[in-house]
Amino acid sequence: MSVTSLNYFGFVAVLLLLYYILPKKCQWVILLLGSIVFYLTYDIRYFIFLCSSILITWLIALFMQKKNDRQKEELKAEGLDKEGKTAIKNRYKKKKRRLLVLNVIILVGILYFCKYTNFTLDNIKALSKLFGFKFKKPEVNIILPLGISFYTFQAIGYIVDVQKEKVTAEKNPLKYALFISFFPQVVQGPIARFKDLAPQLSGEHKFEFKNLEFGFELMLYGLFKKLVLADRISVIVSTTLGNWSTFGGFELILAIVLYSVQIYADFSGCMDIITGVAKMFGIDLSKNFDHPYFSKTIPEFWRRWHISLGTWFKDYVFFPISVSGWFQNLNRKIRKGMGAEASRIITGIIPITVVWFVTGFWHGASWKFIAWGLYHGLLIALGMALGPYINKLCDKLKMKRDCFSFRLFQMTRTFILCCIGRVFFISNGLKDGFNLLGHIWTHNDPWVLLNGTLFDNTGLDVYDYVIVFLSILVVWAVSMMQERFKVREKLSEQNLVFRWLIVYAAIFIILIFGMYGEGYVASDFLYRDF
Amino acid sequence: MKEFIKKYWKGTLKTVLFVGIFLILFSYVQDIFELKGQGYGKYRCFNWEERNALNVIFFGNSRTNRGVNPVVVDEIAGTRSFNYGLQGLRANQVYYRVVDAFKTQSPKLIVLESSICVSASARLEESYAQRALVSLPLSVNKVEAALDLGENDKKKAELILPLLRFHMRYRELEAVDFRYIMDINSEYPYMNQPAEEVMEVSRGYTPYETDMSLEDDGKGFFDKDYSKITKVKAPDEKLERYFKMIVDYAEEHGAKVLILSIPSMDKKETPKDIIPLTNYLRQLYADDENVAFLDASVCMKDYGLSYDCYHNTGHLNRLGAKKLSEFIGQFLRDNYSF
Repeated sequence: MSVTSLNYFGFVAVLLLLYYILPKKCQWVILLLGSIVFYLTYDIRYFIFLCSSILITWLIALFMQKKNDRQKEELKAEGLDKEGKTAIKNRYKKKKRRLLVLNVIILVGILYFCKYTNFTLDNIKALSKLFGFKFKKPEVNIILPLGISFYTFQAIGYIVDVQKEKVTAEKNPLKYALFISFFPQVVQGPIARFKDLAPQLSGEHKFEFKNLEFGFELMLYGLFKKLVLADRISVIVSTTLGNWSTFGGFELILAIVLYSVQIYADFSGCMDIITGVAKMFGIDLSKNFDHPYFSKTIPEFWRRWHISLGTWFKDYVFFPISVSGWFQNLNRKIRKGMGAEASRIITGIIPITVVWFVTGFWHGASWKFIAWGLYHGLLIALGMALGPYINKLCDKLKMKRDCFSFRLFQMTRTFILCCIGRVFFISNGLKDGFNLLGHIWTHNDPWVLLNGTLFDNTGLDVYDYVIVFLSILVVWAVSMMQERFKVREKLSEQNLVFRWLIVYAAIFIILIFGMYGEGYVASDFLYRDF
Repeated sequence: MKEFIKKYWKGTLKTVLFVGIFLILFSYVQDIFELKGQGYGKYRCFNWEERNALNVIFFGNSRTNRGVNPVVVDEIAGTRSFNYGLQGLRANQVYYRVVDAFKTQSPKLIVLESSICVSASARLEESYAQRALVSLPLSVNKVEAALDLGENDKKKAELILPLLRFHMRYRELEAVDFRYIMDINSEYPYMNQPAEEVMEVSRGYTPYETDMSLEDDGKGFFDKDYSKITKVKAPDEKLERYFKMIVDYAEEHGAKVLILSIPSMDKKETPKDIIPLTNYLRQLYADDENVAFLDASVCMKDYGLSYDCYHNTGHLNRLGAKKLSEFIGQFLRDNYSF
């Protein structure tokens, strides 16, 4: 059930009705049943994987919670000196770590098995060939449960938080199941934290029109981004980049730039729909996008793009590596041997490389995703290493940095760097990505932008290009406003007629200019496959 | 519940108002975008008729649409009839048009063309379903029809709300598409003319003007004696069921039924499909005194049908329609009192 389908809206409407009509105590049960039904509409086999993940993590978290409780009790015992307390803590830390490792191995194992088995076998085969061994790749056809990358990370985040005593383990397996499977976000995130989402899910929510109104408006904006903009651009992107060798460099540059817009409109549009639906139930999901194309640097871009994934990696990969004992030792050794500056750079680069390798790998079982991840890691590492020197150079050249033109330059540079990375994201492989870049470099045909052939070759006509252009303007204007104030709250302060006119206009723009219906197969959300 | 209403009445009122305005706007926008094909104009023309003014309504497919001129029928039979034939329609689609027609009219007779029981290819079913429902206002009948005729959920939704299908027409909208909302009193154009101008000369009939002689194509067609064909052919189960539903529905609403076979000049179609099907229906309704038969495929010579009466092998031209309509008119005058 796609979140842009009529079935989905009907499903949400029925669920909302039950949610607010039935006693508030039952609200979380309604959400759970709704989530089960929603997930079952895809494939019952997916559901089995989801249930296994839920059950295993819930049980291990309970064991871990017992250890937490026992540790607390033992620490309360009278006459314990500092050393004694430390010994108790260390003892439990080890036990809990064992449980954590077990849980992570199981969860990551399932994810790896489903998502990366074929990739691993392909690489074993390639390596065997390289070293002259014979390896016959077995035919494996493994299903990839929907949203497994998202809910696995959410479950890992939960178990780590329980281990670190940031949250208390959920005793009710059904409530925990709801936290993992909450239907608006189970397929594409955002990757929620237990302390933020679980209390809202199990809490009681009274009916408020404001929630319905705000949620509905957000949903409309998401549908606009997805159906009017992203799905329209997807035609150009699939026509050109799907067969790039027959196109000239400028057409491909345009397609890559538009692909960057598409992927943003697609993913953030989906997030708006999801967040809007959750809002209608009185549940606030965490923000996943914060106008990333206004970013001045790559690190800032990643603080604004897929925020929940970025913070997850920061909290559960980057920091644990940075504060680990072996890493601190390494830091000390480098500082001693090579100086503070080298230590800053090297110890910064190591966790960044790990994080971006995993980020790339998370996005898909292909070297192109790993290359894309490492490319971003490299950009961030270069920024870290060269940043102070570039700043010094700017100072020496007396270049103004606190002005619009410099910010515009920074934003454009960041956007271009992201676009280059996207080439690997959309190509058919690492080699294909490099070939595509080479083709753009060697096939210059700027006249296609002026002689009208653009409209003949790229799958869309001039009407569509006008709609794409106007839609980008709308998204840009709304983003500008969102940077300055809360648009929906500002809108709610306006007169009813004006508000309704805006909403009616939005509805009819989506209904008329949306890419759906006869002769059109709506593109699946791009991030659903990750 | 009372407490809820007391607490939220303002919000509820606003919501109802918002949805109401939306539905009105939606219906207008949908009218603009809906494809203005044959079914569209015909439905509007049908609605142009005064309530309960029609005594006879002809239901069928393109053979009826092109073959029956109600103006000619009415002159002879002294009645007021309407040609509701729509290209391609089969019994399962006609049924929903019949139900809708009885909402505004109470005809004494409905004329059903027997070839609505000839199976259509699955490929064409979808476009026929769309034509069967085009421009029908949202109603229980329309929803039932869409749920019944739509191939899948998506198609069903598109049949209920045609904007979902035709929204991409924004590229090709013309003045004619806006006509209804610009001037609510004027009727939709039919055959490129306003309905009120066309109605008195056609009443739903869409003529083929070209008089092409098809003697070479149909050599010997009119020389055969079709009354000797006694073969019986049952329609498929679904079409038979719907045909019965149409007859039952008409009878329940006080209308008699006349089953009419219109000859196709296709050498195979008339002897192999149309006549045997009509024979089957005759057997089926042998005991029903409310159901009569006019087998115009058998007695073609009686009303002077010839090669120059056809536009193509399947459809009569204006001359052919005049001859058939006169034949029908005489039959109605002799057998019914309106």
